Amino acid sequence: MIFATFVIDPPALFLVGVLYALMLVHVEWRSPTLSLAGPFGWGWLFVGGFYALAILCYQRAPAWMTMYFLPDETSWSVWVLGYLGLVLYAVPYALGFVVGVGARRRSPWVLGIVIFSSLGVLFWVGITVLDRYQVVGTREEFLAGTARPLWDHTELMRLLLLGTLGLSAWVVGGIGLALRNRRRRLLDPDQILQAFSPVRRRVVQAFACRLFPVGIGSAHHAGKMDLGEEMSRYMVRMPWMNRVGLGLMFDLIQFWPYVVRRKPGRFTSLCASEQDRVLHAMESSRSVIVQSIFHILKVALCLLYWERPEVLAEVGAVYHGKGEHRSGWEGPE
Amino acid sequence: MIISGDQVTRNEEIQADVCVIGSGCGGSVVARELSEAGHSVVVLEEGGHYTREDYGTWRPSKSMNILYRENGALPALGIGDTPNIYLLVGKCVGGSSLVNGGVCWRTPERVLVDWRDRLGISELTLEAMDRAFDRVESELQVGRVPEHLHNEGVRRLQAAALRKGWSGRALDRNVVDCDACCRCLFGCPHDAKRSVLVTYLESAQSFGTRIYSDCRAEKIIRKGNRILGVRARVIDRRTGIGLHHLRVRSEIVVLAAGSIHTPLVLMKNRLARKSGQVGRNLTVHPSARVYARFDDPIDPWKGSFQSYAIEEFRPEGIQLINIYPSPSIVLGTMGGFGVQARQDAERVRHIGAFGGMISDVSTGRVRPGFGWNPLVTYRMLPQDKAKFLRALRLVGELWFEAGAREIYLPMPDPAIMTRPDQLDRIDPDKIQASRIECGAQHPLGTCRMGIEPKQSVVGPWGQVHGLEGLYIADGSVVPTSVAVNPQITIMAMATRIAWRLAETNLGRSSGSSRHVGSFG
Repeated sequence: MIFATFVIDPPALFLVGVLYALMLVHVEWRSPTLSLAGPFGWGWLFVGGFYALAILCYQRAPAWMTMYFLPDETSWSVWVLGYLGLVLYAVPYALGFVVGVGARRRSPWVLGIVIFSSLGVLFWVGITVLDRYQVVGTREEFLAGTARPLWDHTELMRLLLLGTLGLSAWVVGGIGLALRNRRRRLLDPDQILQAFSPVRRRVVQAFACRLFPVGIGSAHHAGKMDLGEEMSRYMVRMPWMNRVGLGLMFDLIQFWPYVVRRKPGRFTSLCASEQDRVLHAMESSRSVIVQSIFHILKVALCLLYWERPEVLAEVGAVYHGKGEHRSGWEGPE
Repeated sequence: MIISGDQVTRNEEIQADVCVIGSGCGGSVVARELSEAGHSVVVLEEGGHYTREDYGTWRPSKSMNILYRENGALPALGIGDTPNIYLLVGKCVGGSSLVNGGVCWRTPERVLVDWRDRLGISELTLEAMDRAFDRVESELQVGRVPEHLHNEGVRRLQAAALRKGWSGRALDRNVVDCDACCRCLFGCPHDAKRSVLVTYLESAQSFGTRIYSDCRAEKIIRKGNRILGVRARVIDRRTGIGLHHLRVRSEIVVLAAGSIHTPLVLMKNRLARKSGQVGRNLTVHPSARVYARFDDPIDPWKGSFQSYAIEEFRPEGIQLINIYPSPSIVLGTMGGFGVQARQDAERVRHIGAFGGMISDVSTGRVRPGFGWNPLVTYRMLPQDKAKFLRALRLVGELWFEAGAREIYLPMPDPAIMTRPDQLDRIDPDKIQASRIECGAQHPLGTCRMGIEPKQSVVGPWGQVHGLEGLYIADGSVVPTSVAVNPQITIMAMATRIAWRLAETNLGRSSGSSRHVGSFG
């Protein structure tokens, strides 16, 4: 009796549906709609495969397949289980989507917390029903304690292994597809490459406004320039490790006030004098890593700001050049 | 002929007598000398090819972005009480010579004597090197910086050095008809700086050398101990994505990718591992600038980028040299925000810069990081820390003697000093080296030359121990720190390696390199 029973996990699947929807929300939250045909369809492909397997197993061992929800073995038809599949995917999806849009509208962090919590619940459910995963047999055998451990059932293990391999191939294929799309996008010459997210660019801009305050180059105050955007394009050619390091530095600047200031708040929401204090604290940080990354960031920003001939001219730094190739300070951007 | 990456539209295979990896100070010399001797040479360069029509009109940030590795911030991570040192390394056709200060020193005699006595490299005597020095200097048109190119800050420092009795002199540089626009670091807009791009590589091309830019050498093909060629990847200049393959069939391969990337190529190809020295013994000449503010404007950018050095302390391994990178970098490396930043900016015409550089006995290491990124570490020994702080103190003394109102040190505390007696606070026992802002432009020694295969990677003529046909000719073979800017040392050593190669290892020339076909 190879398929005396089989493991299926409706609660976990339920949460997968929720998570899937939540993650989609992050992509599409600006114009939320439930009819996100593309992602929804891809989700169906995944869930469809899962349910095909479940239906096959149900035919072999109906008692086990429904034991999570039903007190006794009930003779359900395949169609009922198919219907359950639909509900178990579509309903969680819709639920996750609605919750997700609400969370994302509040903040990406709230959405992150919801996703994280869902993962937590998923693990909790898994741990709760762990003993049922680990045995194979009918419901009666399970209740009588005579069911065999799953790992002793070699043929079933082989099937599970194949399923896992198939699923892994599916995931790897998806990653490959995503990388190919990314590569195509990067090779598009019209694509403006950016190293940092909009939030990080805002942090850079706020930083720049403190580094180049009103008074120097008042006609060209940093607040009137999008140095965040410039910095992002400047850093895009750096190796990814450096980009990650600098990106984390921006996050650190943004949340540093929570660590060192009595009045917590994000860096971008602080007043100018508080921002100055935060930056001073970071510049003289005892952490060598913080200090040195901060140093690179500051030099890079200064490089971008002070290379403008019009800004330099305001502090009297006028460069000269001769011939057809005049000094690059005066050249076009 | 320079073939850029976008001109290679499919996988290609070419045949040549010699394949040179890297087009900087070492690679360009080898390419030129061997092609002049009648051999077919192919040069592979990871960076792009740019001319003064390009970098002459770029802003500094764009030059840093394109001409340097990692925007000029390749870190050597400090281990222990060591600063994180940022290495300025070029990544373009012409390599670092396109973006260096052009300062030319011959290898000091005491260094060559040390190599002979301590390391047993008897081939590199002063007499033997002289011919190569002459050749390189005449090719680069090395000359002394004329008096009128010293800026006001340097004139004051010269006078101060004279008062203190310190010996100093105007620098020799490979610059002709300098326009004094002070932007050597970003590529000379007038090609007044005779980088290898406009000297050796131009000449090599006239002898038939083919240079492939945007082309990263990834695999050194070999059979047993015999080298058969190189497989390279043509990369998209904008995104760094690999596009096509290029295979070069040649029995002689000269690695000249610089002290950071040459060991990386060896390690990735699992070559020359027996010595255990690949990637080790990295010396960098740690350096830092001390800024000084005067009451009156000195307009430090009006004059030569580098023009004057104090030689008094060279026996101690300390070199003091003037350098003015750009107002943006000066203001970026001075502390402060808000009001203080505004004040500094308003006085930028009054602020000069002078640097201290040491000959280091400390060493670092290059390891493979993710992909083709190196992981560089460096540990500064206490004696180098003391020497480094002494260099900063000496620069401070000189600034005060020159009449500076205040000086700015490259460390958080004490950062600003207004009186000479405050210099006593620069105490090696009290200052953490890890908190000093430190840079370096001269990575050397990661595939060092030597006699013993167990203690060195290459022999006295650049051949990798135990491998037939693989040579190294760049800063990585320089066995120890040379205490001066190493451009001429590297080029002279590469010249000798190329001469020897032409005399002994290369048979009759097979004519010019030729396209064999496409594959894949």
